[in-house]
Amino acid sequence: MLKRGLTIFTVCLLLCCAGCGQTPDNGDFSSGIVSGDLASGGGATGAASQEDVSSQAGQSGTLSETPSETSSETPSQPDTGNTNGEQSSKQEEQSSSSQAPAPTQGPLKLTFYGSGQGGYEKVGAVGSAPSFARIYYRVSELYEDSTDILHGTVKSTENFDETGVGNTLYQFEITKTYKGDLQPGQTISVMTSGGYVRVSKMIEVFDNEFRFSDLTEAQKQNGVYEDFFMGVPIPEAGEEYVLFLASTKDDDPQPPFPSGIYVEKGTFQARFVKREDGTFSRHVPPYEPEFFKDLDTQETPKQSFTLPELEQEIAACQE
Amino acid sequence: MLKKRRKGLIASGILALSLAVAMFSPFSASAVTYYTYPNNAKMIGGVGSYGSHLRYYWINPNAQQYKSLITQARDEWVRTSATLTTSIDIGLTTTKSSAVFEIHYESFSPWQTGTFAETRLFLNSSEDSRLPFPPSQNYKWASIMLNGKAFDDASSPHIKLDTQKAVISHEFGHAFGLAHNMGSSANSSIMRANDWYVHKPGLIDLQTINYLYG
Repeated sequence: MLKRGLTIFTVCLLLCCAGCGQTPDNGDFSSGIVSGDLASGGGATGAASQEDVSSQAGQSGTLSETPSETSSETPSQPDTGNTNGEQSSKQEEQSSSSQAPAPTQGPLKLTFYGSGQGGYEKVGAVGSAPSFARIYYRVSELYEDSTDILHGTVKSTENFDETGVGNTLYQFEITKTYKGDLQPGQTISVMTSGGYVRVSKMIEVFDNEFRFSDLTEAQKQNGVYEDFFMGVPIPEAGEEYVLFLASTKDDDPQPPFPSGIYVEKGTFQARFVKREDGTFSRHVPPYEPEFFKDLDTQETPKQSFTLPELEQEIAACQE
Repeated sequence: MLKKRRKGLIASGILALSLAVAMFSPFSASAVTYYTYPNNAKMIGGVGSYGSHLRYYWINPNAQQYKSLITQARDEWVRTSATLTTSIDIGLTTTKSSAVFEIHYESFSPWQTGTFAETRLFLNSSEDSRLPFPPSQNYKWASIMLNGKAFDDASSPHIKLDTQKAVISHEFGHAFGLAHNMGSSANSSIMRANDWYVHKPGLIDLQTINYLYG
């Protein structure tokens, strides 16, 4: 009897231990804590189908897994526009050395607004976490707040660091207009957050050279930080977008911003990027896979569209 | 004999079941989700230590107009004993080099983008200063940037006049190591990404601080 009881007890104990194999790597088992933001590293690999985007985003925020140690470099590169794809893309980025060479790989050729092109040494990166006036969950919400909605292609990019923060100014050639006075064939300047910023400019703007005391004089003069705005890739020449923009023509931004530029409404939220499969979707911050989940309804609206679908969404707003 | 055996079996079963429940209870009993950066990246040296280790914030003269709001936001992160005590203990300094939090009022992005503010996290070591985002390693200092006109005009429908303080408080949260709260506790958290329902840290935010810093 006792033997049988002990056997049952042992089996149950073994089952318990097997369950504990899911203990978070960070050793927080004792407190039972789960960390939602770790979801982006939660073992999802491979690109999900486009249909997966709306259904999966917003579901993985409470995983209890700790991501594996990520590389210290996260070069910017177009992602696949979905949660799983973000992770997959990130892994690819980390193995790629062609997009953003490490400091030891020689100078980066970068163009800065007002300074032209030069060779720079990447000495670090900085992450930015913003607070927004509005999160645009839906196309209709973007439509309301945009002065111009355009389809077109990025012709060139340059870094704008006059504020001591990395922004990217890109030339965008319009192929189709859905809202506003602009015409196909025109090229406009669009600014978004994220990009490279020179150490010298950071020191100049913020007067805090002591923060960079461990850099050599050459690095202070010629070093750059990559400024990640929520970890979202910055625009690259050749990329095709549908953009929801705000014009600054009636109310110029304060200097040192160039006058007459357009800005992405809500930064990356306004940028529907054409993906390899031909669909258009926005970048999702890699550590916030639920970014476009409407917190009031707890639902993630459709996020990936074919061009006709996106045009239909926009047309519906016009009616 | 049979009865005794059955009793023994039942007792063993109950014991094993109790053990299983006890072992799994942390997952089922505590449904709290903490929104932190990957690897729970946080500020090196902590954010204070219950009054015995003060960390400092510095306000750029260009942000002095918001000093009162910054002070209120700071107080609401520090004086929390009525809700939950945390280790946070930050004080104002006029010596920038002593500070681990810099606060600037700087138009870093055209106001039309709708970005009220941002916090930038740095690790100033030439050997391992490549701090990607999301930051997956601890950082040494943080720069809070209030975005000029966008910040001046900041308003959120639920808290209206308190929006600017909420934004500052939100950015302090980022500087401490808190990420956006996208979960069911978002409405009671200052770390909701926008449209805040509260204008100061909520219980979940303080719990997250304790989770990170103990």
